Amino acid sequence: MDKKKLRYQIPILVGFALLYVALGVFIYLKFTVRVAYERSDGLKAKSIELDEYLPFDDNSQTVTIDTDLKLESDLPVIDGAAALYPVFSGFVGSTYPEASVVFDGTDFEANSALKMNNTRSAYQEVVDGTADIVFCAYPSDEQLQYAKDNGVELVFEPIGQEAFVFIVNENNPVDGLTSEQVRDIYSGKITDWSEVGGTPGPIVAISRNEGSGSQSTMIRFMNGQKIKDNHNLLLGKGIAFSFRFYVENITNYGGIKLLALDGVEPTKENIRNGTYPSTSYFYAVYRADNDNPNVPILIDWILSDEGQYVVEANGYVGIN
Amino acid sequence: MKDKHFYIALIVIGLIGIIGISLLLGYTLKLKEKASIITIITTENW
Repeated sequence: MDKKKLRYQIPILVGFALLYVALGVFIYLKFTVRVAYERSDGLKAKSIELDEYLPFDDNSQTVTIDTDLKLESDLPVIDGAAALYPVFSGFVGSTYPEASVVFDGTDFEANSALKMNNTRSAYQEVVDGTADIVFCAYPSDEQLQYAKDNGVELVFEPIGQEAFVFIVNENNPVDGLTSEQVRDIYSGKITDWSEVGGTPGPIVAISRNEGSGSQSTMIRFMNGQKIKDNHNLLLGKGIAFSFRFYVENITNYGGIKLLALDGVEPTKENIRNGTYPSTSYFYAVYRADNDNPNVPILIDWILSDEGQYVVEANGYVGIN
Repeated sequence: MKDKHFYIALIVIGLIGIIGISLLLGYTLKLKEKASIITIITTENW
């Protein structure tokens, strides 16, 4: 009797266990893998590498210029966005003494005149007075409010231009969107790729953290429409935003493509001739009451032909 | 195997499975919070 029962009991138990294993494998392959790669060395290696753009390194990818401006003392402390790091590293490499940059192999030390703490920290530092000039996209409302709350007036000097771009997986059949479609996607009015000429499937409109340069730019791009929280991150196919040079060159990610916007590709030429519809200035930002005599000198140099050469040679578009 | 043992084995396997799946889902959601924009897009299966 027991042997007869065993004949069906054991397969049921094994089948039941295998069902759970199969469910676990399915969840892992479908959802977990999609976000787990963040921790892999391969993708970590693709975040910005400070040592690849050091201003005085022989193998640096940062382009500098020989110039008569040689700052020796009262060196303005420089910081800014990761996307602009090659540019402001180029300014420092052109005009600062080599000893002013102190890099410990992974990060800049506290006494270094060049730092790279990204947009959120940079804005805080310039308001607090621990950085003299920061190079960033226009700030968020919160960052402006932080300056106001501290009684600080900030000066925003445009020093170059960059395309604000939208990116998708390279296998996504959609090659371009209109500005209106992008706003409708991020406000939740368009939710499926088939509505914009793509393969049917939910759209994941991915945002960045508040206060980052690209998030602040996206909020302005939305023209007052609220960005809808997207909770479909594990199921849909994504669209995201960033800045052209950061995506194409600094991070050098494979597997993604930049979308044309209103039929115009985000190329350097189209930024320069003004046809790409979402072009943003980036700024040298400093306190209006900063009394370091080299701040205006450095700003004037950045706006000169030599400074603008450094902007262009490092992959961005100048303002002239 | 007695019926009683069979059902106990079913319940134990079920509980282990549910706990395992819950842990995997929790881990996935935790990773999701830290995943970068480009990570998600580049790892999509098209």
